[in-house]
Amino acid sequence: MEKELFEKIKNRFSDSKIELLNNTGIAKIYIESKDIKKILGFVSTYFEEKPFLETIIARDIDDSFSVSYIFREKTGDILTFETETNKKKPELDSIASTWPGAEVLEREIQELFGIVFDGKEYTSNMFLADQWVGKPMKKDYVFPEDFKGIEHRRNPLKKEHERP
Amino acid sequence: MSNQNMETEETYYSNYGPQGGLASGPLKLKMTLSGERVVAAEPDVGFLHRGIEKTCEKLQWVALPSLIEKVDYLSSIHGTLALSLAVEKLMKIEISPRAQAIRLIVSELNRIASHIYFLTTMAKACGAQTASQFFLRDREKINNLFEMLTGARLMYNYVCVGGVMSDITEGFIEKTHDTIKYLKPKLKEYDDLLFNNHIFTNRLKKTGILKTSDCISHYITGPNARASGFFYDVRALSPYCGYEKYKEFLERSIKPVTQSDSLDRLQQRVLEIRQSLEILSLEIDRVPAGTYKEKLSKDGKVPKGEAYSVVESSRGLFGVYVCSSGGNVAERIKLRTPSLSLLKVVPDILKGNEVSDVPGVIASLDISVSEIDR
Repeated sequence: MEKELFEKIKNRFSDSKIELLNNTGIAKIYIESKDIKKILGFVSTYFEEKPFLETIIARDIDDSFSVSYIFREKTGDILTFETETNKKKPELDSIASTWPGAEVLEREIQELFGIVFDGKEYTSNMFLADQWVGKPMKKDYVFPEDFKGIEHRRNPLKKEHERP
Repeated sequence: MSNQNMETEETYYSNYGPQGGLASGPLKLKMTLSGERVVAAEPDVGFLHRGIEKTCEKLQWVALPSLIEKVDYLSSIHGTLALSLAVEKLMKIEISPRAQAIRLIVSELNRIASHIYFLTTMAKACGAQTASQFFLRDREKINNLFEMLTGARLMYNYVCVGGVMSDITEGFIEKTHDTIKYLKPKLKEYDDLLFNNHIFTNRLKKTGILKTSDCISHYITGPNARASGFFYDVRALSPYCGYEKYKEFLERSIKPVTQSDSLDRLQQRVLEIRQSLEILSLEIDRVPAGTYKEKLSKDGKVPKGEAYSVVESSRGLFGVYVCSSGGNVAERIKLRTPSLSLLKVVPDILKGNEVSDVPGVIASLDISVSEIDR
C-alpha cells in the first residue's frame, strides 16, 4: 500500500524530494519538512475516508530532529511519514487544521523537544512545570540538580544509620 | 437559561480538582461558570508527569515492562503487552500459542477489573456509596486471581518479551471458572443498582454528550468512542494474541447508539464486562499445551530497528513505538495513550452542563491522568 501511495505522491509532487524507506522495520515515506502540509493534505483526501492520525513521534538524531506521523486507515493498516528538521532552528508546519487531534501532540513535542509548529510558540507549559528549564527529551539535556532550591539528590545516610 | 444567552450573563471562575476530581489521577479544570452552568472549561494537567519516556532511554530493555505498566496502573497488563509485542517484532520472535492464550486471558481479566473500578468511580460521582462498595467487592475476585497468578494485585509485571513471566498456576483455571460463574449473575445486580435506578439514570441522561464527529477528528477510541457510535476496536480490526477467533463476536455485540451521553458510556462498559466474560469463558478452556516463554539471548540486546504495536486497553488504543540502536538500552520509546486524545474534547463535552453534573461527566469518560502525564 505504501508503494502505491508513494508512486502517486511522487507523480503528483515531482519537484519535492520523496523517498520510500523500508530498512528499519517500519515502512515510511520520507518527505521534506517544507512539503509536510501539502503532501499530508493530499493524503487526507487520497483515501475514501480521511485516515486517523494515531500519533506523532519526535526523535533526537545527532544534529537534527526526525518527526514521524503515524496514520491509520479505516481498514486498520498503518501509514507512516517521516520528516526532519534542523536542530538549530527546529520548525515544522502544523497539521492541526486537517487533523485537530494533532494540536495536543504537537504541543507535547514542543515542550519536550523544542520543535515549534507553525511558528506558534506556547508561553506556558501543559505537561511540564512552567518554570522548567530546557527540553528534557533532547539527548544533550542536562538533568538539573534541584528544582526551586529543592535538591533532587538525597543526602547520604549518616554513619550511625549504616548496617554494621 | 439557554446556552445562547449564557455568555451575556455575569460569569465567574472556579477550579475543579486537581485532587478528588473523579478522574484516576490529578486533573484540574479551570471552569468559567454562569450561575450553575459551565460556560467554558480548560483542562490543566501535568501534576503527575514522571518522564517515563525519558526514563525508558536510561534503563535496560528488561526493566521496561515494570515502568510501562505504571503509565496506566489500572490497565497495566495492556501497557506491558503493547511493549512486548513491539519488542518481539524487532527481535522477530514467534510466541507460543500457550503464551498467547494466557496473554489474552490476563488482558481480558484486567479489562474487567478496570471497568469494575470505573463503575465504582461512577457510583461515587453520583453519590451511590453503597453500590460502589458492591463493585469493589466483585473486583476483589479478579484481584485474587491476579494474586494467584502473578503474586501482585495491581502492578503485575507479568507479560514480558517472549511470553509471560510464569505459567498458569495450579487451580487457576478452576478459580477463573468460579469467578466467571460468580460475576455473570452479578451483572444483573449491576443493572438493578445502576440502570433500574431512576435517580442514577436521570442524573446521567443527556449530560456530557460526546459527538461521533469529535471522536473521529480527535481519534478518540475505546469504550467512549464505541458508546458514541464510532466502532474502533483493535481486537477486531488488527487482532493480536489470538483475538482473531473473537472478531465476529466483538463486531456483532455492538450496543446501538442512542444519546452518546454519560449513561451510554456507562452502559457500554457494562456491556464490555459481559463481552470479556464471554471471551474468558471460551478461552479459559482452550489454553493449549506448550511453553509459556520463549528462550531469549542472555545479553539482553535488542536488534537495531523500529517497531510499533497497538493493543486495545481498557480505555482505547494503546500504542508503543520502540527504536533500538542494537544495544541494551532503548534509543527511543514513545507511548500513544488513549486518554490524551480526550483532553481537547473535554471543554466541548462540559460546555452547557450544570456544575453538579461535572463529576458524573468526568467519571464517565474514565480519563486516566497517569496516561496523559506519562
